[in-house]
Amino acid sequence: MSVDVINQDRAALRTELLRILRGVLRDDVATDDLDDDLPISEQVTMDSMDFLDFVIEIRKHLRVDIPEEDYAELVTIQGLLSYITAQIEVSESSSPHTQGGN
Amino acid sequence: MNSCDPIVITGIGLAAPNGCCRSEYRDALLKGRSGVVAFETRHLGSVPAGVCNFDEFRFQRPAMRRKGTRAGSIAIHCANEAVKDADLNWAMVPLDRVGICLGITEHGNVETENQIHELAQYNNDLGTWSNYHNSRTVANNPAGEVSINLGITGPHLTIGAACAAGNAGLIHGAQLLALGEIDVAIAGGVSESIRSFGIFASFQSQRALARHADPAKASRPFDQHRNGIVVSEGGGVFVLERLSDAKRRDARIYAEIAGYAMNSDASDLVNPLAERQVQCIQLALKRAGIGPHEVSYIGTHATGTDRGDATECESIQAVFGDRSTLAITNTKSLIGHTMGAAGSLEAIALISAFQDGLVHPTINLDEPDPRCNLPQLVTRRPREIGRFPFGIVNSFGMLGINSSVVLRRSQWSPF
Repeated sequence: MSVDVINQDRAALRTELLRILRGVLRDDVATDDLDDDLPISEQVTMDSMDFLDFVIEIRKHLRVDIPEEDYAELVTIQGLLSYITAQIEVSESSSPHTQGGN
Repeated sequence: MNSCDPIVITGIGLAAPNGCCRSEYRDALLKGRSGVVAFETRHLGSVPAGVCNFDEFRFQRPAMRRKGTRAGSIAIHCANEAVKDADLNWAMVPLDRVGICLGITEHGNVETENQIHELAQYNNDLGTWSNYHNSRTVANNPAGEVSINLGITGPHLTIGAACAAGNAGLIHGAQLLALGEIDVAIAGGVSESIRSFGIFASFQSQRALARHADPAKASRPFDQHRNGIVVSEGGGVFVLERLSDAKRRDARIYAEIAGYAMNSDASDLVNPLAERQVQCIQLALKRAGIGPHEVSYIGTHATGTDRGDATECESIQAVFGDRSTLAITNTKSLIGHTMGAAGSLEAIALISAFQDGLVHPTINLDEPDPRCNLPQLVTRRPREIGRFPFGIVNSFGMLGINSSVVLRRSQWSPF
């Protein structure tokens, strides 16, 4: 997913995050009805290792840096959307030549 | 071994490149059907290799498979098949009295190579390194995955024994039973080695990697034109029990582990030593309480290397001579070298021969190397030998590790 798409379409980013989540959890995880404001781990079977795995996959797929101290902001879909969007904005303003990774 | 209460095989599960259940594997062996195919591997391109085709999700949830390893997946497939085959009432089995002993040639190479490769794709960003890397690469991984999958709370051991590992797993399982540490052993060997380019590359550097225009003809033990090993993945897992327990539950008994031995060359990293192989075979026979003349079937280790095959033939000749009533064969010509599973898959072929009285052929033996021209080699087509009491399986490995297992045809529930 390109940074442009992320910036242009928050819905597209949400779709991408849920795709990554399904890729991590694999088993028949219903993500269509997830409430964006509730912790993801309360809505699907997800332990702490799954959460770390999810963060790593987000980092790989979206090429965003996610320091450990920020993990608390990522427990809901809403939190993820806000955090990643902000990260991309910071990335764009500080390092335009490397935005979105290589 | 323990004449009071022998250790017997009551269940079999397998994954081989030419069959992932016993009937399919047996049929392929008897028909001389190779499971070796062209396989794309990182940096080397196409190489001949044995690839297993089984449904990974039959016994394992996709989420658990993602967190685990191919070796774990193969082990889970084989262990579940073996437990089913043993017809154990699993719900009634005290799972703290079940032990897992799986031999491996190596473990961790696949995951490490993949992670390093992936790291480079992400500009060496260590934040992309998997949090499951360690649980995938610890040496007990394959046995541990089986423990989690089947809920087994007894000991689980993964036994590193190079290419003698398939026998080593079986032997350690039998030993735990004989010691009374457990009541049921899930024992054998597995290998995921084809997923590691380094295994192929090292054999290539060693000038011991098989190459042939036709992959099915690349693995050619004993042949004058053999040029190395075909690396394969696979698994062979047994349910072992003490005879008294097996009889009590009226289990089908495939074979008795009549004797075994392991020893070390203590001489070289890669080159075998006939003198120690002879001692290993002789010790296994002695522990089985039989002489060489009582053995009707030898499942050889022969991997298709120049020195390895010739050395094993020298050892066999020294112990067994030219007796014409002996049949010698090999599964590697048909499935490649399944590394940690090799001894187990060889033993499964022997058990099938107990059942049908047939010795499967070694294929690709078009022009025997004079140093390997044993008169008892079964080639081209199966040989009928009828009922026979004893067979032996050799499995040797790097660093000079040798193993031989003597199996006796079941006397208690004959096929």
